[in-house]
Amino acid sequence: MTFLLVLALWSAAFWCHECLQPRTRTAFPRQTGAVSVNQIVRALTPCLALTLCLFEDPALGIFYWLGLGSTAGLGTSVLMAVLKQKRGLARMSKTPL
Amino acid sequence: MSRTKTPGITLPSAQPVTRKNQKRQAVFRRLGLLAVVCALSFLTAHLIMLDTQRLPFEDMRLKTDLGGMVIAALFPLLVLAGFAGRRHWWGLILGLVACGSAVLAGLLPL
Amino acid sequence: MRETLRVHMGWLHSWVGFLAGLLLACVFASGTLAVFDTEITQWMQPEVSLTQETSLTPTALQAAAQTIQAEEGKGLSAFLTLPSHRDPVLRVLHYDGYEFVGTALNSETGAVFPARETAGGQFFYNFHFSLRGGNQPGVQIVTFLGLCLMVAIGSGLVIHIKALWPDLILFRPFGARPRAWVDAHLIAGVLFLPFIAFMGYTGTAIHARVLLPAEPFFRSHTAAPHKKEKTAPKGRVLQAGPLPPPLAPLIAQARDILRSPDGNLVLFTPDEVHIFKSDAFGPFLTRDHVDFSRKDGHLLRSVTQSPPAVATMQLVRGLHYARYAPLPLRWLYFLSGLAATALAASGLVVFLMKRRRSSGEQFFFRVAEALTMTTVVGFPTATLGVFWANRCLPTALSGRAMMEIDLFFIVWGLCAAHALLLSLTRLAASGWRQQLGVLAGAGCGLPVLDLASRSHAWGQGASVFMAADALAFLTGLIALCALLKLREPAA
Repeated sequence: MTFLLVLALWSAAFWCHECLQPRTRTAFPRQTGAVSVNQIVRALTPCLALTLCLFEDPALGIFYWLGLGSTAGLGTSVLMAVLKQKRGLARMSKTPL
Repeated sequence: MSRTKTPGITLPSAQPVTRKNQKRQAVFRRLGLLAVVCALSFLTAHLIMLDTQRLPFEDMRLKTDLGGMVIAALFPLLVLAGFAGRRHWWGLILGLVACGSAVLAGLLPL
Repeated sequence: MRETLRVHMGWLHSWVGFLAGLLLACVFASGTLAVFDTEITQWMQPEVSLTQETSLTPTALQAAAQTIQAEEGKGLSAFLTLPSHRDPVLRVLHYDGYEFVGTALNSETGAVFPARETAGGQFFYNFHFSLRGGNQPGVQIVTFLGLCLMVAIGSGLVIHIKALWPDLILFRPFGARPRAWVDAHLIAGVLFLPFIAFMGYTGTAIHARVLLPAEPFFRSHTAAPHKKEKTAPKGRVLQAGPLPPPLAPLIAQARDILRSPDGNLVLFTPDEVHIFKSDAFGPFLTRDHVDFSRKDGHLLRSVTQSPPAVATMQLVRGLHYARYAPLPLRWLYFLSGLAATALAASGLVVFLMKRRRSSGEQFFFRVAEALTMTTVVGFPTATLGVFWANRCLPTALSGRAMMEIDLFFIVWGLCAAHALLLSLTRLAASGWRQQLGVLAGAGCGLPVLDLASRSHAWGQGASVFMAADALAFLTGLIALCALLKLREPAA
């Protein structure tokens, strides 16, 4: 359960990081004050995730934190890509090779 | 700089044959530099491994293990620095300094 | 063309990355599988029951001691691995020059499981660090590749440093062709950078002494020749010892001293019995051990303290080997290993895509494409071939383990020959499709084969079989998706 929470926290951090990029502004329009919220979430959630990991397993917590962070980043990037495609912002696919 | 903001690349208009020759020369220069840098880095790594034999440990395996840790970190750094530092050859100079230090460490008494 | 640092490093990254990446992808893939080496061995030996308790009985230990003595009689240096939660059986193993193989015993009755002969997960473990080529040249090649990996990582960072932060999770799979592959390469490389750099560094550091031994290249002629003591080759003994004393009290005493409740390793010399601490307790791969006399079983010594320098190396080894990792962390290692494999594979594809227009007609490009095909599709096909061979070959066949390994190399070789033939005859696209078709069939068919072979029960303790079959099926499914994508006409 803790690890799921860590995964969610990391995902939130990555989501906010992507939302802060200028290219995402057109896909997900921001409201006033959203920038500060995104910045705060981006800064705090990884720290919170680290605290949870260390609380769960003081010896190996750092490894869980790094591993779950990478996995969450991968998941968020794929989710973002799919959402952007749904909103018609990505170009059409071509054959991969 | 984000990859989404790609600046326009303008190539100088040159004759195709000249450009091909220039490109080939550039590749040869890079290969030469890489060979020199790699040789120097390998020599430095080898000397470091020999220097580890002077460490005050009884276990031979431990000495080589510690040498391995230094080499695994230093070798890529020397290759990258040697290859990157073309202007005034500072990369190669850095490699020579590292190699010289390894030689001195082997010669000087503990 | 302006010789900027980025261009310069880009050239280094491309060529070092491609040439080393052809083998690094295989090293990463086999390392990923080696994370679950014990579980793969369990899948490959379905006759061994995994539902038993980890408790040991004196009867089982007596049977193990007799087996050890019999093995020593044959000149083999056998040792014991005691049951643990991960592998609840008593194993008598010996080193055959490449892998640790042997018999599995019931930890309560001491009865030998009539298990099929297999190299199991040990094969992937050995391939990961030596390409099954021994210390020379196998380990040397892999260590050199490790150095190349570090150079490629460094140069890749220099190229990408400006876009690293803003494009941290930028992925455009629906974008233009090269863009999607470059993004996949970057996503895998950036997000899993700590893991890849750390594993690359520790792997190289562990075996650096094999690449650069601590002996001068040019020996002095005046130096006296180094006298070598007469020692047995690795995995062999020169003389068999007496039957060990009852092991149960020794193990209990050692566990008490080592504070290691299960999964210990017991080694035998003609005079002594060494009981080692299990690797499962903490990231330090300690070699803490308690020694007893083999004649009467009295305590000789215990080694439980490590100086800081030794502890550092223990940590480096422990973190790389991941034997300490509990199951969730093991899965994270596995996922990260997959990402590293994807990084290398996508790098190879990007290298080819960038050069197809300018050099696509050249001989060397065709060879490069064939080699890439052999690595990206041929290696997983050969890996699945081992799993197929394990279920298809007769269980009582002698030299079965070697035959499985031979089949791996035969399948890989056939993939290479097929790729070369089609690439050189300008039919590379068909080659990709055909090999992906075979991979899809092999992957999706493995669960069916496992089900049809009826080699094990699907009740209790079947999670190993389910996970392995599911992963094979997933591999087949990914290959099928790639195949369907390749069949689409280019837009």
